[in-house]
Amino acid sequence: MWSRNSVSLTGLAATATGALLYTLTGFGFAVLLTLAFLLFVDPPQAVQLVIIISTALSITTLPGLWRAIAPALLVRLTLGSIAGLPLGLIVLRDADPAVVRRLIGATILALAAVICWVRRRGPDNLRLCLP
Amino acid sequence: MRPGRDLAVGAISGTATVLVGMAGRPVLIYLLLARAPAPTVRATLLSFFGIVYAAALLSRAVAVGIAASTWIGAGVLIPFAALGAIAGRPLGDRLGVRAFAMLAIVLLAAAGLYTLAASTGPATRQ
Repeated sequence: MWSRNSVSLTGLAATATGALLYTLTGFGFAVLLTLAFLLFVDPPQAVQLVIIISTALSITTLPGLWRAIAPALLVRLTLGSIAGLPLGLIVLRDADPAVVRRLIGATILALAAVICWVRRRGPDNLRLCLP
Repeated sequence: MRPGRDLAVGAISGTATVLVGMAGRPVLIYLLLARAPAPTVRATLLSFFGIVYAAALLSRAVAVGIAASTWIGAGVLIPFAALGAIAGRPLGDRLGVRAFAMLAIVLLAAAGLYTLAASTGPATRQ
């Protein structure tokens, strides 16, 4: 990765762009960076790079955002996430991974369309059915 | 947002993390649908990722190890990530609800397409 200048420049530019998006929205870094890194390193290393850089970015960005964090929400999401890990392992063991990925990809696209549709309904953006 | 729903979305996120390596997308969708303010969405996602990724990093380092070349590569890239973050921070503070939602929808759509494309090729789970 570091010996090929053009590729390295792509990686550096993608990293800066991904970090900008990540800081703007709080997400998007892994999608962009994994795709970019896969162009010049193997998948395990790409994933490791994304994880290391994301961790560093999260830690360095958070001090300026403390006041906006909802601590109780964060704790519940984290606890729920821990509880969901074994469920994922069970599904992974019994289901076809390709089918699961297709299903989840289609669900994300559908939800993006729902959010878009909801936004267009009225001036109160993102109004929906979660009272 | 309700405590039960928060836990359920967290569980979906944990499940999705194992299945397709996506920790944040279920949480993002939930927060957008629940009309959470953009700064809350951003700060909650960043802190959530901080916890999830730190745990993933630790477990990978302990279980399989991380090559020195990867640490060096990350060390080279992190300053550029910091530059992007420095540029993004003031922009994020000024980003309105509408622009934030549009950006989120575009990124979500990209993530959905990426997940679909990844399911047709070799596994590139993160």
